[in-house]
Amino acid sequence: MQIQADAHLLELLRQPATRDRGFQILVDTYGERLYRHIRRLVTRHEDADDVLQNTLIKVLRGIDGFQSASRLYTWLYRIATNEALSFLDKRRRRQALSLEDEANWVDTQLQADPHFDGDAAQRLLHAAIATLPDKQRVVFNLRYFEEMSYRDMSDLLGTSEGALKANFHHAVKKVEHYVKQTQS
Amino acid sequence: MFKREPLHDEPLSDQLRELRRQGDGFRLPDNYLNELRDRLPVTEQPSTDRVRSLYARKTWLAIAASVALLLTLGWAWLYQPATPGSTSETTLAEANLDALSDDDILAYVEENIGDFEWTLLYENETEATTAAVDELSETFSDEDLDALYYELMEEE
Repeated sequence: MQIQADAHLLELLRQPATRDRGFQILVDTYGERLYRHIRRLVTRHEDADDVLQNTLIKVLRGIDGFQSASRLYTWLYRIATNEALSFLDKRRRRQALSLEDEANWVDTQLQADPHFDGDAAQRLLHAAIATLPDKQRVVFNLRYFEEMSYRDMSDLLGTSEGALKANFHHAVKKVEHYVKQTQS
Repeated sequence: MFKREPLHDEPLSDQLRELRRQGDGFRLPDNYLNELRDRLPVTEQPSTDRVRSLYARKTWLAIAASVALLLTLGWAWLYQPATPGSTSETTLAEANLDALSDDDILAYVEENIGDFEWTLLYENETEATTAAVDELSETFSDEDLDALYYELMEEE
């Protein structure tokens, strides 16, 4: 069902006359998921907005080269993940933050964020996630928040399921350790 | 859309399970997706079309550029200074490259590496590359690789 809908969406996006309609469906179908995926990685709404814009522009530009063998959402998530990680890398270089500094920065940002409704425990969780290396951070978010299967993650990230499970377990231990340490 | 696989079997503490139930706390601003749709240049042609139209519509520009390039190369070849011991194998590109220091070249690469299409690189990744990366991941932990990365960054 979804595959047929995606095939139709691709057709709309590839024709100049229907591209506008296709883009509308693309944003309605995948926009919120992509936004949340990106937002969990970059934290601030303004940054998530920039990264999502870049992601969608790359999708539009690359739509003719998209291999239909790969599922559409996998391709979209892959572009969004790469864009978000690239953004994080640039932000770290610019701010010269260590992972520990980044955790404090995340907590401070969220306290003042009008688009964050979480409580102190949720802020602490996001700060703990910010201490993870990039790959673990992506794997943790996809599994923990989105409940994505390791199989889908393997397609998305090009890593074996075994390595992804190990990544997730490492990440869980670190997050739990950070939360416990900070609370005590 | 992908199929959800619940977290029942994952080794999560009670606290993480409880936090999972609360969600991530992030809120999508009201009307955000509609505004985003209106903001983006959807009618822009795909990049391949733009490349074709440059050559199709501005052929005269391509011809003029080619002539200028040929004249420049011809002039450089005819008037290159004769130095004892030099061979005719030194190309113009090599000569220009020699004028740059290693630091200049490194600075250029670092400055422009961000322009590379990582998505394309990712999609063109071969099975051999994937296997090599997997092997590397299994040999070294993420912590080791991150430590190496930050060590290299600090050296910079």
